[in-house]
Amino acid sequence: MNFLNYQSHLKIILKNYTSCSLVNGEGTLLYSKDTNLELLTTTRLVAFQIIKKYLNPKPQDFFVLNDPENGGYHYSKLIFISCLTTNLFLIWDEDNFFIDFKIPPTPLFEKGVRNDFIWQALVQTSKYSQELESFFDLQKNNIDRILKLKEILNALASAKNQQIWLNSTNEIFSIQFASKAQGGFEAYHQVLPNCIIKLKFTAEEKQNQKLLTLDFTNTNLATQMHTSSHVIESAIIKKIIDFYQINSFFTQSILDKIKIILPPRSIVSRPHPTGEYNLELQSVCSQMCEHNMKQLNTYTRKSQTAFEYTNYLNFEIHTDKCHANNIISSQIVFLNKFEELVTSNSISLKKMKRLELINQIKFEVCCDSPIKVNIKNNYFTEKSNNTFKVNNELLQRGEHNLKKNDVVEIIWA
Amino acid sequence: MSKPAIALYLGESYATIGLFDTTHKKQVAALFEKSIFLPQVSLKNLLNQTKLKIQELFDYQFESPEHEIPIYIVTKYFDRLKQFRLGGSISQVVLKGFENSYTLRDSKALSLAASQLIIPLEGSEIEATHLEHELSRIKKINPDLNKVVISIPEGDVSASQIELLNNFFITNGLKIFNCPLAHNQSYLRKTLLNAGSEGTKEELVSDLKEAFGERVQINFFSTDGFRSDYENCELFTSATNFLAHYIKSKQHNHGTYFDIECLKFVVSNKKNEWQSPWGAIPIEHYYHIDLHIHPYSEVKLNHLSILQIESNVQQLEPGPVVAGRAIKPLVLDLFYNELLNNDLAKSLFSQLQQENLNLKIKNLFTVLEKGQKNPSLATRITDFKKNIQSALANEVLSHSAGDPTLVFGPLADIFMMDQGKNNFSWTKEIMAAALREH
Repeated sequence: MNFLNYQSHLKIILKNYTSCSLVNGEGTLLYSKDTNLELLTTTRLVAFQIIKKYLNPKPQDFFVLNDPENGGYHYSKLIFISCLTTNLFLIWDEDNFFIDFKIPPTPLFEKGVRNDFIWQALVQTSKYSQELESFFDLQKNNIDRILKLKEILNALASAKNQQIWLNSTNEIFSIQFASKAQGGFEAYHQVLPNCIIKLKFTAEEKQNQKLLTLDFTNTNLATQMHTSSHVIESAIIKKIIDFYQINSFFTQSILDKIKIILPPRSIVSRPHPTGEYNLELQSVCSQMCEHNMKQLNTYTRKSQTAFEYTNYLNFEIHTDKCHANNIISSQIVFLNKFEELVTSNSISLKKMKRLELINQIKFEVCCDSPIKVNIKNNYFTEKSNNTFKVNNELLQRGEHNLKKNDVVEIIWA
Repeated sequence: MSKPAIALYLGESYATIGLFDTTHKKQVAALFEKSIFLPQVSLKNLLNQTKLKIQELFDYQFESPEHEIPIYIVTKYFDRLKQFRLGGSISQVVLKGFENSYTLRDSKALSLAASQLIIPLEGSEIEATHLEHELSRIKKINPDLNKVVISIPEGDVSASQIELLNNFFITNGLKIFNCPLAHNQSYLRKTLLNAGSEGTKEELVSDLKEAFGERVQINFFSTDGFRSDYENCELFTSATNFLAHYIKSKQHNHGTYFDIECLKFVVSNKKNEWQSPWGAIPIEHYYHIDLHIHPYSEVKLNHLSILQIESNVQQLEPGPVVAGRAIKPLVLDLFYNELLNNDLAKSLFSQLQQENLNLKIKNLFTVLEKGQKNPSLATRITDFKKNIQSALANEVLSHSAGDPTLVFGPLADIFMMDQGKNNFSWTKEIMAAALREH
């Protein structure tokens, strides 16, 4: 088998997943992809290590957990671990907004058989049991489809093939490392008063060792706003593999070349119990990392500029049956399930326009049942006129309850 | 009296036509059959050849009121539009405050209408002078503007104002597309797509009428059968829907179809919403998955100097090297030797058997093979080809989850080596389906 075969096998078994990692029995990363807004690369790998250490996974075992404090964002972000063979494990994450409580590492299926005690506690006692059942069934069905591809799984689990693949991705990293500039560049950003993140990016080769270092030394200690190290690591890794154009070959061989230095108890390394600032800090660090890499690789030093954060608005709307996650920025607008809220008569539109310079949405709550809006980041900046208002009052980050006849207006210019 | 009927498969890059005598429904055979590669031979040419054949084989007067020749069409032709922003000659009449509202669900989707051609109105502005002013403004931007989508919610304006709007645009020679549910963005996208694809459909219908006369009965396959009344957006799913019916008729739940211009896994279950390149559109259609390798994708060396299949680009024009003119090798060209014995390829690509073409293809792939800079990451072309076949077989296996799937289509035996020849023929299946219905 050559490395292209191995890659094509990976594509086939992982095609249904947008956010997943494949590791061997020793935890060596064979491939990882993160195409969602929320990045969990290292969170998934830590989840695997916990399961491996404490629950001794066997083929066809299937575990679930959530961990907002350590990079898992929120309770509804479920992390699954499935043992495909003794030398192949798949870890992935999916959202389910009907889960709003902590799930410790839990065996949902053992050797392919459902654990009725867990199922009863997790699914059947919930008022959303039907929705949860179909959600968990879908996850299990996807794994069952993969388990039927025995030849592919055997090829992927073979230690010899894994070595060929890891060696090839190592070589690919070397080619791409050589194609970019070496040296360092640093930037800083103030997220709150007295709350500064400093990041230095270095690409260097010493004694034939190629290394990319991301150093957060001199970042302020955590006060109000902070997040777990996994959140930051996952964001940085994603930016690096995108910038070096190696995302199709992301394995342990590449992960080992990335060194991230996070001062203890700082903004970027202290877990937050609810993960409230995860997305925002991930976005800041991700943009800083990209800025540093671009500046280092700019041919004319004259174009060096100070880092400027590009802000965006991320908000959720929750009704009893619908959970819509929405993004508005200068580049993209993504109002997921907004149309569903209109057609179900939960809201009625008063304005909804998108012209070159302005996005504007105005709607009135029509239903008697409660609607919640959760503004997930600090969208407000002094320089802009961007607003999120309810009944003409400006809303800040956090959860807000809406009632019938409330009028919500969002302007993003 | 003989009853001629025509079956036409109009793909993105090729067309196949069949002429049948349907006098005795139980014994129907093609009297004339021909396939053309559209970048090289025009559809008009094919239709005219068929017309001559009809005149030769039947005592047929195209303009006679007794003669209404039916033509049954399955099409994938509209897939050509999928790469493009539409609506360059379409105006949108919307309520003020709802400009481009259909793009907010996902701004990355392709645009269906030009922002500069929007006429935003309030109820009080629906009067002739203001409309004339607005029309003259947008006509200055695009003098060829000929269609208008009206998306004003009932209740926001009166019925007489809506009538005034409609009359105004009809008088000014614009074709009107009304959106029945103006606050439903999915329906607005659907109406805009109907308007945006109207030109392509009109062109096609005009070619058919020019060849077979005004009295030709044009029937497109839409969701569940041949229809003479259809919405334009239904034509985007015509071919897949037809394949799903074929699969069901063979008592299968799913099937994998291998063609020169697409490889797809089709399921005989319906979906209500189509995730189109322009956003979600409410159309009932049969579900399918495009396999991850496309026959018209380029085979190239990527930024790492590794052999790779380009993910998105489809080279309809000038097409594959086997068609004669192209200089970029596509996936289809890897299978040159197999195509030499393939009936469809032989009829589409007239230069296929020429030695020069053989040499050209060999040279192009040799250049790619030798261009790989890193020996440890290099792949031989023969291995690359085997990888493709094995990847497709595995992908089909993963979609079918081990259940038996119907493997068919003109290139099934090429891409799925263990499959024997199958007898799927577009024209025969189209005519069989049409006769079952009528």
